Amino acid sequence: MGLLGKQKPVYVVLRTLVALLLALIIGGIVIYVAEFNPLQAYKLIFKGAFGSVNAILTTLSYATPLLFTGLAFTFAQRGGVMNLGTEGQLFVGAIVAALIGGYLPPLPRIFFVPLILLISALAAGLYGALAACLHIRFGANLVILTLMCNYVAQLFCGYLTNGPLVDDQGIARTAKLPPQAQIGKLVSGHHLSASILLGAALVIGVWYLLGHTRFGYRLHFMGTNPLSAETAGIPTKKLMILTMLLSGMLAGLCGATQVMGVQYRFTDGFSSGYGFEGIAVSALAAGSPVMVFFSAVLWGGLKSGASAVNRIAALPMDVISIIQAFIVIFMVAPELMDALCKPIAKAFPSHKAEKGGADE
Amino acid sequence: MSFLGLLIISALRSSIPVALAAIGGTFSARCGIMPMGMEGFILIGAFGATCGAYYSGNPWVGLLTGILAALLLALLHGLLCVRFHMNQVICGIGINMLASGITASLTQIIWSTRANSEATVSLPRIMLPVFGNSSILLPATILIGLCGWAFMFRTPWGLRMRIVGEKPLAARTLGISIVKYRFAGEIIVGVLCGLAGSYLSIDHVNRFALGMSAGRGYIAVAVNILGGFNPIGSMLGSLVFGFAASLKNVFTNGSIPSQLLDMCPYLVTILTVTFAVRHVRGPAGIGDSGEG
Repeated sequence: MGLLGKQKPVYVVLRTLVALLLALIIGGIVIYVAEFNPLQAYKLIFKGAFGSVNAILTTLSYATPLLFTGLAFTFAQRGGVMNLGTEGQLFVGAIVAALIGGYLPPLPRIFFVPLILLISALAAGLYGALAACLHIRFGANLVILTLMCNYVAQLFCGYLTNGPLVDDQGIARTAKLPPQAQIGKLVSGHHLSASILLGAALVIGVWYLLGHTRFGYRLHFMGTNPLSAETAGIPTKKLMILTMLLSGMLAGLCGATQVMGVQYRFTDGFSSGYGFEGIAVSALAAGSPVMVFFSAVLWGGLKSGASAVNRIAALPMDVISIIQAFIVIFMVAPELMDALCKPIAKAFPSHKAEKGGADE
Repeated sequence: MSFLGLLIISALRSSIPVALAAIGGTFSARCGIMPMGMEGFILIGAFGATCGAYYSGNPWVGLLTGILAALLLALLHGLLCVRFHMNQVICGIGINMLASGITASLTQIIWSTRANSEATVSLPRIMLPVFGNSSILLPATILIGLCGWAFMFRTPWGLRMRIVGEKPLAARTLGISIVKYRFAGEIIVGVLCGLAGSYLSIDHVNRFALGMSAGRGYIAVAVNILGGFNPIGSMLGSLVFGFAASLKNVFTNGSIPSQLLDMCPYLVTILTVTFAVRHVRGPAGIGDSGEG
């Protein structure tokens, strides 16, 4: 992966915790500016996120979309491909799921749900692969392409829901999905969708694919040194398109599961920026698919806790984006963290480091 | 006014912020820093300008605070990319996330809604011979573009700047400070993006709105490539996007859905970076710290 350098694992864990702590402190400053007590606010956020079974289920429901986009970004990053188009891809996945589910005659649920998931993921994957194809065929800048594709997908979905698909009451949303196309609830009495199970299965799948297969090895090779991968006979161009396809499929599942498991229809602006939040999820997980799960739960917890606090006090929810931005900055700039952690690295030699980590 | 005249005036208006950012971006790119953070610089510049104008009641103070806000963020970007060698794309994305988080939080804290600020004063307008009643930043943009070109291609500092971006190791061997020139590039891009943001918030309209940069920073990166990393080329390239963006202001009768018109600048960007810029080669030293 190379994002974290080659230090001892304990130090890397410690450094991650310091990064998280620093980002939370900066978030605390903003909370203080908003005239709240930061410690009190964080306590309430934590309680709102993990304080009861109900709260944990809500946290998991916030974590579900981030799980998919975090995995999508992590997966592409492993191959050295920066998929900044997850936001657009998840819109494609969502609108395709809403169109198939809402407007085609339903099949029995056991076929229909997997079929919709597959087609919508494929559509989103192809949307991502299109950008990769243009990049390879014409040398277009992939970063710009994927970012522009985000705007195009969002605006086109906005056009569909406001124009041809607008419902009788004039609300910009597609038709409600029939029960055959809905993903059920995980437990009765809570809105947490069962799609988190799909997310968890994909975490294991991606972990296996990246770490234990020839494909994963090739991807890693291409990500660390594309030139020697090419020399070694790995078809890097094809692999890159495949990477964007699979990464786009993961992102597309984020949109599809939100439509099929939460909203039951496509509403304009259903995503609170899940695509870019996925980058923060991936950064905190430091490129490990298994850690993506915990990272997504942590961000989900922050979001659900903050929205719980927001119900009693007008805490600016966007504080979380600031915390996420700093996590991205801290985690992807290991040299910065090394400079900041220098005293800590000295004070806690590696065998004591776990103790230091426990103090957080 | 005739249809064509309306289109041209509207296109010029829409291209000013993209042109300003793209001119700044050429300096950053020519010194070897890919200016992916421009989206965030513009956004925070727009916010800073609104705050300054709102609290002082003077649009010129707003212009100054807008520039300062963008400059600060650009310096942070420079610190991360130049001093700590962070991946420039991720750094830009992180900076943009930061800018959108900060502006949304502070808008909510100050005006208790995250959607937009209250109305404030805006910059005075001037009468120009050909363009008529126009923004004061229109002649300023043209002047900045011309001066930028002269600086980059006709002065020793511009030459050194280009060496730093093209072959950092050679620059270091010549005794040219990579860090100094790259920070100079960041300062220029910060100031110009601050102007672009101020144009959006206290000239084009008179308030700050959530996410009002709307991808202009990314489009400016594309314009940069289209313009061959040349200030004048960037200025002309931004007109293409100005035209695409101004279609919305021309077709106001609702015959074409607004979302499809809004898509035009982004589609044009995709088409240009795919088909129009195949011969353009970026500075070779982008992402190279010159220390290896």
